[in-house]
Order: sequence, then C-alpha cells, then structure tokens
Amino acid sequence: LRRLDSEALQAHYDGSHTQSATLPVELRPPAQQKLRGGRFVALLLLILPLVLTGCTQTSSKRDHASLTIIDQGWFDKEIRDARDLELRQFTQETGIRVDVLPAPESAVEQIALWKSLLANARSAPDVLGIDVIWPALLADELLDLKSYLKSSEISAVFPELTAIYTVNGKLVALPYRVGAGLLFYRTDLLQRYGYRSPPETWQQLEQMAARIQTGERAKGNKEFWGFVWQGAPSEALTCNALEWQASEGGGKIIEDNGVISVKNLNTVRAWRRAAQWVGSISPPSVVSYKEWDSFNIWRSGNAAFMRNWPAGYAVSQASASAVRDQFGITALPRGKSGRAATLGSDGFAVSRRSLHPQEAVLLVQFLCRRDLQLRRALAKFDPPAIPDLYTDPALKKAVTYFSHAQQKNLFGIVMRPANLAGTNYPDVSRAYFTAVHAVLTGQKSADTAIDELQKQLVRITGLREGSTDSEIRGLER
Amino acid sequence: VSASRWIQRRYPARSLIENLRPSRLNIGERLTACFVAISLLMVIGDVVALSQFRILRDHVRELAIIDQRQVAVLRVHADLLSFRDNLREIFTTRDAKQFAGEAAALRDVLLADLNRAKQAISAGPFDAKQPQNTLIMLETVANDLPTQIDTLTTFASNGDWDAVRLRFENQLQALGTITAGLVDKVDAEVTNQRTVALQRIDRIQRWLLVLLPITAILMLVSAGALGVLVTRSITRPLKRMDRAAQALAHGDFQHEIAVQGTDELARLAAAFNDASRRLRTLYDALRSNELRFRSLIEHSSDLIATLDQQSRVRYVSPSSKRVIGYTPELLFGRSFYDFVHPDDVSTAKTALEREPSESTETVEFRFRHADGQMRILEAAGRSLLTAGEVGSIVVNARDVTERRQAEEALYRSEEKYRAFFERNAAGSYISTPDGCLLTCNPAFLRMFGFSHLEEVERTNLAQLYSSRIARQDFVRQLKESGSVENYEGEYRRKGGQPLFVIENAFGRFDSRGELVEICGFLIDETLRRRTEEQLRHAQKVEAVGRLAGAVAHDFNNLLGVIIGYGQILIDDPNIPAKSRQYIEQIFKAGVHGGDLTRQLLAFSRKQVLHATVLDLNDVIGRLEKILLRLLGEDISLRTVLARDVATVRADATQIEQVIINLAVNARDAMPQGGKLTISTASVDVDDRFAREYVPMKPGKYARICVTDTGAGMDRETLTHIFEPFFTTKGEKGTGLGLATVYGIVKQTGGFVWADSELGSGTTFSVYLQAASQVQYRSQEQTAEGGDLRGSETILLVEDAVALRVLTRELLEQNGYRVLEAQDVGDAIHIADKHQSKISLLLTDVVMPQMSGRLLAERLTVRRPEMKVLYMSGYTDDAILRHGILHEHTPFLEKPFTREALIRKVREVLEGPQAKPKVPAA
Repeated sequence: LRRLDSEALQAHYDGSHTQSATLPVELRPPAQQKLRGGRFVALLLLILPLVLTGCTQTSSKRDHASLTIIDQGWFDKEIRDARDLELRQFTQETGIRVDVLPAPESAVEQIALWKSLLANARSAPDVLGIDVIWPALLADELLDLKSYLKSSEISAVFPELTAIYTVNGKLVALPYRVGAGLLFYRTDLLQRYGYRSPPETWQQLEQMAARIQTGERAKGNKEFWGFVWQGAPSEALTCNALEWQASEGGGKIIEDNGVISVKNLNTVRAWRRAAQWVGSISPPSVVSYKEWDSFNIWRSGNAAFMRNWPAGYAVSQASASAVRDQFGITALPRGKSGRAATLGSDGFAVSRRSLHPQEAVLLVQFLCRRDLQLRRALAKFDPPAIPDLYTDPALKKAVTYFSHAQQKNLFGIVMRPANLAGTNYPDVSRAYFTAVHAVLTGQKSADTAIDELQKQLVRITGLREGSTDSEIRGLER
Repeated sequence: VSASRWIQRRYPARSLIENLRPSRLNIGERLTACFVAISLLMVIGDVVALSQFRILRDHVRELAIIDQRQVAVLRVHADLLSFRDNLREIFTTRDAKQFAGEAAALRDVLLADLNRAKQAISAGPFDAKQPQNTLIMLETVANDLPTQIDTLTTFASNGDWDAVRLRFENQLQALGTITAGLVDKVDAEVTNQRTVALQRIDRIQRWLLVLLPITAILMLVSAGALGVLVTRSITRPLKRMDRAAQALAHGDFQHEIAVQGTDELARLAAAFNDASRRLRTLYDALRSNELRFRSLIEHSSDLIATLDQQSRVRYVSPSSKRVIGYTPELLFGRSFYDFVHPDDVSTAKTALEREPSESTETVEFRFRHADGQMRILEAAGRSLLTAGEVGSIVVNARDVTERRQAEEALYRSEEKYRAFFERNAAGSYISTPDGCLLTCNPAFLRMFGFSHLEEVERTNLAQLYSSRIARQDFVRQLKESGSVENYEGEYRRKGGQPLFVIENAFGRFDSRGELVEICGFLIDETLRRRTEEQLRHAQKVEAVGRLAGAVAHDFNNLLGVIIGYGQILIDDPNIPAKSRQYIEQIFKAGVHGGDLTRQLLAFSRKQVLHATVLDLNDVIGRLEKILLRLLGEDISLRTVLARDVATVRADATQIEQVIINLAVNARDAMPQGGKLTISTASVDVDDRFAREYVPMKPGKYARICVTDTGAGMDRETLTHIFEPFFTTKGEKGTGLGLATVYGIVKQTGGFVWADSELGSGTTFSVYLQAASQVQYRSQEQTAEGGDLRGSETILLVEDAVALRVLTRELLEQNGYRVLEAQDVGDAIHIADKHQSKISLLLTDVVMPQMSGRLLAERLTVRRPEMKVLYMSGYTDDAILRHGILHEHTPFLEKPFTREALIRKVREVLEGPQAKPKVPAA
C-alpha cells in the first residue's frame, strides 16, 4: 500500500470500485505456474459465484447531498414562488437539491413545529428560517455559524441584528432581512377625501379612517373598513399592542434593566383606545385577524389603512391586488411618546443535527447573499439586513421608502422582550396577547387585564416589577 | 487458519501443492473433503439464488407499499378538494351555523384520512428522507387545518363573510397547494421508485437467468471433477494391490507394490509389502524350524510317539529301539497300550490323553521291553485329536527304571539319616551365622521349651544365648577353627530359665571361606549341673555337719560333765550361797551350750528324731497361739489350711521348730509389719516338676508354705540362706535358723525351697513326703511325779571318762548300782564277769571299737531281760542306718541334765522290753 501512487489514491477517492486495477503490478500475487491443470478448477468454481454475487451489490447509487429547508411565509403563493425560484437557482449553482417543508401560518404554531422537528435527527430540517424572537429558544439545536462563515459575511450585516442572533457568543442564524411594523395607506382614498399626507398621530389615523369609512360605505361598499390590523390572539397581536403602548409611553413590557413595566396608565390608555377601534373603524372580527386576514381585506380594497410587515408591499403589488399602485407605506402613527414600530427580522440557521452541514451552510450563504437580498428588496420591497445595500442607487431609485427606512428614528424601532425573557418568551408573549385580546373583545377591562398580566409576567419570568423608561431606548439607539 | 495449521502439523515442510495431492489425505478425509466441497458449492448456489429471490421479494413488497402511499396521498388531496368545494357551497348560503357544523364534520373526515395517509407513508421501510418530509407535510396540514377552520368559523360567526371568503380563497388554497404538491411529490417519488424497483427486479431476473445455470453447471462440473479425482486416487492403488495379491496367490513372495502417498491405500500397500516380506521370512523360518524340530525329535533320547484315536502308533521316534527295544517299524500300527502293564493301562491312558487345557503332570507306568522285562516309563501325553493340524495323541516317554531305583535307595538312605537326626537326643540344628535357625530336631525344641518348629523359626538363635559376648565368642571360635567341640554354653529357654549345654558344632564355609551355616549339637547339661550343684551344696552342708557333729559329740560330753557336776554342786547344801550363784551361771551356760550343739546337730542332721505320723494342720493349729505371740502386733497371721492334707512322717517337735524358725525369719524380714501366711496343701509332684526342682522325686507330698510380705531377697542371697552362720540380720541372728530348718527337713526326707523377689516378699515351701500310715500320736510317757530313784544294776558304757564318771555319780546318787565300762570290750568283759542281773544297758552309741547298738545286740542275746538306753551327742549315719532311731528306741540325748537322765533311766526300766529290730531300709 505504501507503493500506491497518487493516481491510485485519486482513483480510490473517485470511488472507483475496481480497486484491484489500481494496485501496482508488483504487488499482485506471483503467477502460480506450478499449478497443474484441474487442481485449482475447484477453487475457482468456489470463488466465482461469490465474485459474481458481490458484483450485483456494487451498483449502489451515489447520493448527492439533499437538503431540507423550512421557513415562515409559506402561506402566500407569491412568496412561495419567489422562494422556489431562488432554490432552483441554488440547485443549479451547486447541484444540491433542496426540499421545502410547509410551515403553519402563525409564529406560535411555527415555533412549536420547529422545536419538534429539531428534536429528532431524522426529521430535523437542514436549514431553518429563524424569527427574530426565536434565537434564545432554539440556540441549543443550531450550529454556530461563526465557525462556518467568513467574518466579512457576518460583519456586513447590521451589528444590532447579529447581536440579536448571537446567543451566548454563538451566532445561531444569519439574518437576511429586517423589518418593522408599517402603516399602509390608500393614496387614492386619501386624495379622494382631501388628505395630502398619511396620519402623523393615532388620533389623526382614527379621524381619517372614520371619515373614509363613512364615505366609502355611503357609496355602497358596506364591507369597507377604516383600519385593519392583527387582533387575533397571536404573536402579531403582541407586536400591534406593543406598538400602541410603546408609542404612548407605556414601556416595552420588560424594560432593558429587567423590570416588568406593563402596568402603567399609558398602557391602559393605549389598550382602551385600540379596544374602541373594534367595530368602529376596524371590523368586529379584527380580533380574529392575522396578518393574512388584514392582507386579504387590504388587497381587496376594503380598507383605508393597514398595520402590517414590509411583505405587504409584495402582496399589494401582486397582479390580483385591487390596490396595486394605489397605496403608500409609512411609519406607524406617533403617540404621546413618539413612534414605535416592532422589529421583525428573519435569518437562516443550520440544524446541528444536519447530515450535510457544509452544504446547509452553503444554502444559508446563498439565501443571505448580497445580490439576492438586493433582488428581493427591489422586487418585493423586502428590506435587506446588510446596511450597505441601502446606499445602492438602484434600490434608492426603485423604492424611495428605503431612504427613510435608514433613518431609524423615523420608525421608532421597538424590540419585543424576546432576549430579555429568554426561553420564557413564548409564555410572556402568550400571556401578553391573551390579556390584550381579552380587553379587545371586552371580556376584561384594561385595568384588570393589565393588573393580572403584570402579576402573571412576574410569575413567569421571576423578574421584579418596575416603571417604564420615559424614553424608548430603541429610538435613542 | 486452523485447517492450515492442521496441514502444517500433518505434513510439515512440504509445499502446498504436495499437500494437495489426494493421496496425501486419507480416503475418509478425502471423501469428506470432496463431499464438503460439493455441499459447499450447493449451499453457495442456494444462498446466491435465495438472496436474489429475497431481494426480488423485497422490491415487489416495496412496490406494493409505494402504491399504498400514492393512494393515501391522493385520497387526502381529494378530501381537501372536496372539503373546499363543500365549504364554498355553504359559504354562498351565508349560514354561519351550518357552516360551523359542516366545517367541523369535514375537518374530522379529512383528519381521519390524513392520519391514514400518515400511517401508509410511515409503514414502508424507506431509506431516504423523502417520506419523512412527506410526513411532516401531512402533519403540518393536519395541524394547521383545525386552526384555519376555527378562524373561518369565527369569521362566519362574526358575519365577516368577506374575511371568510378572502381567507378561503387565499389561504385555504395553500393547504390545497400542499396536498397537490404532495400528490405531485409522491407521484414523482412513486414513479421514480417504481421505475427503480422494476429495473432492479428486471436486472435480478436477468441475473438469475444467468447465475442459476452457471452455478448449477459449475457445481456439476466441479463435483464431477472432484469425484473423478478422488475415484482415481482410490482405484489406481487398488489395482496395483490387486495385481500384488494375485502374485502372492501364485506364491510369488517377491512381488512388491509401489507405494505412493500416505493415505490408507498407501499404508495398506506398505502393510501388504511388509506382510509379504514377513511371509517370506516366516516361510524360510518355518522350513528351517521344521528341519530343526525333526532333527530334535529324531535324535531325542526320549521316546516320542503320536497315536491315533484307537491308540495305534502312527509315528514313533527312532529312539524307541533304545528305550523299549522295538524299532519304529515294529511299533507302527500297533496299539501302544498292548505293551503297557495291564494294571497301568487305565492310569496311563487317562494321563496320556489329557486335553491340552489340563495339567501337564507326567505319569509313570510299567512297559514291556522287547527283552521281556518290565521297565518303568515316565511319560507325558496330550490329546491333540481335535487340533486339526496334529490330529493325534502326542506321547513323550523315557525310561526311568534306573532313576526310580536310585531314588528309592536315596530315599531309604535319607530316611535313615532323618531318623538319626529326628530321634537324636542331642538337640541338633542348622543356622546361619547371624543366628537364623534353618532347621532343628525335636530334641532341640524340647530343650528350649518350644512346642513346634514354626515358633523356633521366628526366634533368632543369638537371642537364646544368655550373653551376647558368649555368642560372639562361640561364632568367633567357629570361624577360626571351623568347628567347636565341647563348648560349654549357657542358653535361655523359652520361658527364660537357664539352659546349660555342651555344644559341638562345625561350620560350613563357602568358596571364599565365609561362614555360611552352623551345624550344632547340643547336649542338655542343665539337670546334671543342677544335680551337681545340689550335690556340691549337700557336700558342703555335709562337711559342715560332719564337723559340727564331731565337735558336738565331744562337746556334748564336756557339757554333760559341766551340767552334771554343776547340778551336783547346786544341790550340795555345803556350797556357800555366793558360790552357788556362780555354779548356777556355769550350769546355765552349759545348758545353753547344749542347745547350741543341738541346733548344730539338727542342721547336720545328726540329731535324734522321734518321727511320728503327723497331721500338719494339727501341728500348725497348735502353734498358732505361740506364733501370734512371737510375731507381735505389727504382723498379721493368716493360715490357709487345705482339707485332707496328706499326713507325713516326722518329728512333731522338729516340724514345729521348722515352722517357728520360718515364722521368725519372716518376722525379721518384715520390720515394718506385714502379713504372714501359712498354708498347707497336698501336692502331686510329677516328672516335670521333679526335673525343675532337682533332686525332688515324683510322688505325693504335703506342703507347708510360709509366705511373708517383706523385703524379699535377691538371687545371690537365696543361694546362701540355708547355709549355717549365714545371716542377713547382722549380729542379731545366729545364722542357724534357716540352716536348722534345712537340716530338719532334709533329715525328715523332705525338701525346702525359697522363692523370693526383692520387694515382693518371700515364700518358703516345705515339701514332706506323704506317709501312708494313719496318724499315730506317740504317747509321751513321763515318769514325772513318781519315784525316780532305783536300785537296779546299770551297765554304763561311755568312752568319755569325765562324762562316765559324772553319769555314774548321778546314777549312784539316785540309788543305782553302776557297772562302769570305758569301751565295748570292757563292757562285754564286765557283763560276762558280772553274774547277777543287769537291768539296764546305758550305752553311748558311737564308740571306737563297736557301736552301742552292736554291743546291745550282743549283750541282749545273753541277757534278754536287759533293757537298753542309748545316749548320744548326735545321731550318726550308722545309727540311722541301723534303725536305732526307731521311735520306740529309748534314747537319751547328750548333754543331759540329772533329771533327764534319772527320768529316762526310770522310764526305760519301767517300760516294756525293748525289741531290737532292724527296720526296713
């Protein structure tokens, strides 16, 4: 074997199964000239069937790595198609096939599924979409991408985002988009009812929504509503309600210094105001609306305002949309304390149980690639996670909104207390949106609900109660 | 590896090919290997075919599962589609309640189908992740569907039908998309898998079509080849062996088979070669043997014959001419027993026609020689009639007539010498130099007290010697001079008693001059020795006694004078009181001296005994009181008196003296006190006892035993105790006590023995010959109280002047008239001269010229009325011999007191006429 030359080795690594052919001639057993006639016939007869049998087993197929990916945003055809397109490109580039697994609609069910899939080596997808609130929950099941990625790839991303996606020094996912709660408004209707700009404050929004709603209904569109948002008891409601209270100076549920601050008058006020929207400027069933229900009403042209994520752009611009080119996007209205928009971001992670981590990382790198982010931003108004891309002239030219988006203060980004609550976050969020939902449906008064919530949160997190910061840290940062 | 090791062990240092040659293996191993190889081939063929069939079956099963999966997924998809259509229908009615109910029902159906689909998919054995993903998809649909329906129901119940419609169109579509995607996916998968499976099946089928015939052909070919190979490896050597066997059958012992290989056939061939070689050797050996045996028989000095069943001679060796005088030709065909003495025919026939398994003893019978004489033949025979090769009776005979005669002569001679040896009174023996007895005669056994020969054989002769040095000395002498003559040896009998012998012995020496055997002849000297010793002792005692007697005789006369005159002086009133005292002392000393001399005389048996027939029990009974006083308080006396103890003839006083002396002796032996036993018994002394206790004679005895529990005596002391003046008590004893006993017993004709051991007391046994007469007690006639004075004439004959004078004085003082004679002649002369009556002859017994008895005889012839009173200081042998000491013979013991003299004289004078007679010897 010492005498095997490099060629032979190469042939070996190429997977050639005629290994004996690569043996140098010198190594072959000496010819048995001494053997007489039929002496070894018997031996050959014995060996031949074995050799023949062995040959049938050598025709094993060679497996190309095949990856599995699971991601949010599966429920929309456009998003799905775009994703499929990207994956096909990946397969073309690398030869690695990728299977997409379907995901449930809302985040609560999603995280449950993610967790159950990751727990099992057989079912664990290789690549997973990770919501901004999940890193702490899934960190143990994911690979540290730092050891796979080039540092330039990491440093290109918003450092705030990488900070969020880093748990105990481990980069659990690479973010590929950043987002926040946005206000979608109908430019045609605003114009029709004499408004030159979208509402600056919640009060203006209420007034404009009521007026347009009344006007549109008078025209015969009985299904028309002033403002749609996400009132179903889900993560989306947490985002909506956090935006309400934060903009009114009601704090961030858990403050940066680790105190439970939800019990305050500003929050009570914010919640009471939202409760008044139900059945007035918002449909009674808004308390069951998720993102897609809001999109549905909005897209059908039956709403004047919509609170939603940047993905709404692609949805609104879809060919079947009734509001195509008749809508604008702006920051959410200002409250007593200023603007507040919940941060939403997504990244891609690799399961630590992946059988093909190298290939999985390749896929993550591909999906977070600079050009793909740019392409998504241009085509779907998907805000990239790489700050440099915002200076791209094409992007600036195509979507003027991005120039504003860079000005963070404008949006008043607020963080859900995901990292502060750690693994308790799903419970914190559930308690929070359940309490808000109870107020929205009139089952409880805002005072009672908040009072109970405060106690519940203390019980869940073990943190102490405290007062809110007067300023929203996120805005300052 | 183990197989190769086995081969290495079995066929070391051989090449593989050499080892693979079939003839190297045993046939069994070869056949086994062949069968194993064929079986292996078959198994391999079967395994190959079976494995392919198994793969085929798996693929077919996989196909079925794929189909099931497809059906299940299709069903779900169809369900979902119909579900959507149904809901849309209800939706148009805008009936919230119906909507909710219908939605729930549809959901349940769909969920059930979903579960079924999940089961179908998870059922198959799949390697890839595909079905896992499909499962996840189904799971997602199953999980999400209720949420979707709940949302729709909520909207419907809120009357927000617009939201219902929109969600219905936009989002529920997604579920449809999933299932549609699933259908596509599964369809693609299924098609793909089906194609793959079908391809595989097809390939396997083709492969099987090739493989099975190839395997079968290979198996057949290889089995055939192996068979041929093995068969040839067996048949070839067999053929060679067959040829060799045929050659052997034709008597060709030279033929050899070429040996190849190491298998059984090779070994068989080698064995065959070896056997034919041996056969060759054997054949040669047989021929030479045959010649040898023939010559042996032909030249044998014995007569060797074979007989047929009718005892007819079939063969006889030429020696027949010499042995029985007939030539073989003459004997052939004749019955063997015609020549045998008619009386011996049956014995001979039985012995000669024994079966081979029976004993091989020879038989002797008389046979008629050609010269007509009867000769004795010693013959051995065997009936080999049933042994096919021989088929006859084999007889071997020789003439032993001379030998028999010689043997008889030898036997007679031996018998003679045997008797000489056996009956020899001298103890004869043969032993090894170290004393191991080889043989001995009965006299030897008797001598040593052995009962039989075996007992002796266990005993070493050397142990029988009284001392080792003596033995060594004996053997040394024998070695030096070759023989020992008149060697005085002391042995020990079996019981330890000494055995004194005179021994003559000679040694037998081997070629190197080493002593091998000792032949000895012993003459028992013990009895002679003992008798000699006894004699010596007797002579010693006799000499002492004679001396004592001689002294006593004269001494008694002197004492008689002293006592007599002493008495006269004491009676003399004129003697002053002071002097009288002195005289009395003189008188007492005289009396005491008299006692002493009497004891001396007793020992020397020259005492005058008054023998009567006594009952010893009476004597002891009378003595008991005296003995008790004598013994004191410390010693207890026990008398064990046998009934009917034989009476003895003895002097009662003397026997009393004996018992008292023995008791006193015992007392002195027990200063610390003890026990004294006096016993009597009748004892029959037989020859054996008499031999043991020389010089006792066999007969009936009465025995008195005096036993003490004192200190005992050693052997040395024992041999001296009866000697006078021998004492162990220092100055206390006179040394005459036991000597007196001895004297008395001897004088009475008895025996006394002392047995003692240091520390365990002493027993004195007195044996007195039993008397046949009835007891007779002598009446002591005493004249005491009567008038002792007389006036008769007494002829006094006494050669001792002083005593004669004194006696006359005493007699005359008492009124008698005394004729005094100084010797016998004088007495005869006086008697002749004296005319008047002489009433009494008072004469000394022992006198120089003539004894008193003869004098008395002579004088009483002339004067028959004259009475005789003898007086003597001792009893001489002559007196004893002449029976003077007959119990009725009047006798006065010297020295005597005046009273004793006067009383005795008076007694005799007044007694009956004495009849001197000679008692039987």
